[in-house]
Amino acid sequence: MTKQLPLLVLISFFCLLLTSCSVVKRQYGHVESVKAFSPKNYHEVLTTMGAPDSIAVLNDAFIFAYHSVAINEPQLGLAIPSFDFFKFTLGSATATHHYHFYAFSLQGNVINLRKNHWKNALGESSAIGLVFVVEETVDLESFEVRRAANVWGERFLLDINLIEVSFEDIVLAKRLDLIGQDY
Amino acid sequence: MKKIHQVIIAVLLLTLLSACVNYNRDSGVENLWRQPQSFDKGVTTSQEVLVALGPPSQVLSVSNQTIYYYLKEAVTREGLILIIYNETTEVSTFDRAIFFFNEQGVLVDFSYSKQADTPE
Repeated sequence: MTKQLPLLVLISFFCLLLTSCSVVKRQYGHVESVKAFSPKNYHEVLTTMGAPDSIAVLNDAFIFAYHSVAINEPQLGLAIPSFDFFKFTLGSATATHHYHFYAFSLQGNVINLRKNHWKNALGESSAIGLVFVVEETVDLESFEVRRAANVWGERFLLDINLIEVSFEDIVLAKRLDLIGQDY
Repeated sequence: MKKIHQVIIAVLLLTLLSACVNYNRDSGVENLWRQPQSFDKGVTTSQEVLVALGPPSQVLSVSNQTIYYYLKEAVTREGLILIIYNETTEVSTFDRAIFFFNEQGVLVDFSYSKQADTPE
């Protein structure tokens, strides 16, 4: 037993100093994976892709946008000597976007389409927190805004002289205005 | 000596301590379109859609068509805390329905958002 003691002490020591790993994942929306297709009009896009995330209206066209974002934030936690219940965490986040864009004439025929996916770094940062709490090290506040569709009605309750876009401009589509989610 | 053993065992147990966390929240309209509905292109009127689904989240005019856009946002977060390894996953789902009506208020086309089987 006496011989095992140093080993146990050694194991305990490493457990205390052991770094922790965390992974924070976020997913916003979903873009249907479809085989390449050549739609002729917006009806075919609706059938294949479903309801769009956003719609934009121009003078002579309207646009469907489908957009999803997946964020992956791996973290490394380091034990802080003398502060057993706290850790120092380093993290970085990457966002992967999937975006489909379809433009239609006012008659509903496809005039342009494009799909793309890309990654962008959201930054690196650090945090000090409790060992049993997963702290987010990168500021993702911009992804946590209320969706435009869910505040659309509220905007009309604002003083007409104070809001940036008038009710008439939005409903009559006199300007580029996205409806649905924005990221 | 016995006390040292107890401390060591306590430390070892602490490092193996695990926990799960989860929460969810919704916002937006109720997604009644996921319940059995009978909307027919060329037949159903905007009034019938309003009765079935309630007021839309947004209304838009495109050329001579009116669009009703419904949105329900659902956020779920799950986490596994093992101290040495931790993982949290937050998924925001945007359940949507869109309806196009002609000048007479008759349904031209409609569609619901496709739902993911598993997070991407």
